[in-house]
Amino acid sequence: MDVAIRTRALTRSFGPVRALDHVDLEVAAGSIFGFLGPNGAGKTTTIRILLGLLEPTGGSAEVLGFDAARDAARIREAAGALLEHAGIYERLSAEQNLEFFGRIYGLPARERKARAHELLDSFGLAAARRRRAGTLSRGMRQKLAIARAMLHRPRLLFLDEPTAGLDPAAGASLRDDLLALARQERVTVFLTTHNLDEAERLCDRVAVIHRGVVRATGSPAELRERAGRPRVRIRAAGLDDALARLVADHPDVAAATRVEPTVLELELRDGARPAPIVALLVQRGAEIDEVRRLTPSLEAAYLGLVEAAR
Amino acid sequence: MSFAGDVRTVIWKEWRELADHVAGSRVGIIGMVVLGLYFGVIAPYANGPRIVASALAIFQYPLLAAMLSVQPIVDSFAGERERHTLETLLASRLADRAILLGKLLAVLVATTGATYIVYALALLTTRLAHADQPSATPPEWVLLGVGLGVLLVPAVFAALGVFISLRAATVRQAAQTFGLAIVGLALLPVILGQLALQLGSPLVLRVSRLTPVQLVLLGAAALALLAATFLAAAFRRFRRGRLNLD
Repeated sequence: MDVAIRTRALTRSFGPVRALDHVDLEVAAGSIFGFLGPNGAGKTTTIRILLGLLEPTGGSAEVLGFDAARDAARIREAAGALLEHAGIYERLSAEQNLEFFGRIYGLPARERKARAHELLDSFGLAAARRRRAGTLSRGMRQKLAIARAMLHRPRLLFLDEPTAGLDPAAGASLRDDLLALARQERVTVFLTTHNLDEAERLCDRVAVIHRGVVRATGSPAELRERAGRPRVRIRAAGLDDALARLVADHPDVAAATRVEPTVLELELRDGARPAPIVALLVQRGAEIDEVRRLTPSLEAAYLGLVEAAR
Repeated sequence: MSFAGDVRTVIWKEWRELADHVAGSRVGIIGMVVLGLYFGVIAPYANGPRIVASALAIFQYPLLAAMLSVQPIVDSFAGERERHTLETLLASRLADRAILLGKLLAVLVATTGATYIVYALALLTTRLAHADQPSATPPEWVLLGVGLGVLLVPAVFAALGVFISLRAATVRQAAQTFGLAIVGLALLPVILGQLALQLGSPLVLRVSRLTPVQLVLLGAAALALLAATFLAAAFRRFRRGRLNLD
């Protein structure tokens, strides 16, 4: 696996406050990595260190093969970033904002213009390209900031809460555009968010950070798996309280709840399978309509991890 | 991209923002026109050649350039920090020195250039309105003094302003600190001069024997040294990993 970002025991303190505490991360090249955590968890601090905007107090970070403390300039050359604030120059037009960053990255004039138009089109900003950026809506400014970050075709994109503060429609639109472009341009994305739906839709892998400590890492599915015991919902005719109690007493069942007259929800013990319970119900005369495994949400996983850390 | 190219890129952005800021404000445009008309036409027309051809010119026009530079220079970093664009700029590939020099030169070239134009206009006005007076043409030492002063006084202001703006949380804070620093800086030669006179320093005697051209060059050297000192301090202060980004 090609690794785009690798941190080892990365630590940063602000006086007595430890913002990052021995953070170990690995982000595969070409993947979309979600860094989840509540406000103040250490997400922005991590991005700042990875871009060389903040010096770590301990540990190391390697980004695209460059040491973040020694070769940060090389990292900034190969990466694009949308940070905590969109960082849009409000007195310049949308097009001039892109022009400025195109010049910074040394794109020739013709390519600069073509690329700017391509990205403004992709993000639905073509009609607003001559408008002063200060007059654009928040969603448009966020899109412009992502276009700016992608302008020079970076190998790695840092996005710090890209949909924060946007209404659901603008957030969804931005997410769709971002996903399409990231896949199309095969860029590695390091995304921080506390929007779990966003992480679930976009990310190949996620890490949960809380109070500077990484609590869990894995794919969204893996984190969900870790959220709790497997749950099963059984819909059947002929269920009654006696049958529900019988199922609850089964050694494979940790808890059983009759949520509707014909629906039982079971929490299975680790490693248990639903088949023996279904067989028991059939044996006792129940007519099974549906057996469905319930997937814990990433939100449940996240809240569980954060709660456990408190 | 070369270092010079990076500096040009920063200047490009600064000038576009500055132009938009001035053009977007009626007060800004009127203010610029009034200043240009006053120092370029009205003052030389009303007061005669002494405005452009005496020692007064060596103080007046460099101070005009310096005054023009104050607002954009205190805004250079503190403004970016206040408008939340500093972090994005620092996250780009631009080198620290290119950002700092670009911002400084953008202000310096604009204010110095504008002041040279105003002085040229003042010379023209004097020529046309007071052609009969023999002193309408400035002596060499005045031309040299205005030429160097218009470059070096705003250079001192710009280097000091950038140094202060780098750490200031807001433009307002930067402007206040800058104002205090300038007062201190202006008082320094007065205090030193008084001390030298009181102590009867031989330096006073030596300075009094200098020709006007030598005096101008001495002053220019002192200003250049001051600007270089502030610039070096600003370079030293500008470390990405240690700047306050919020």
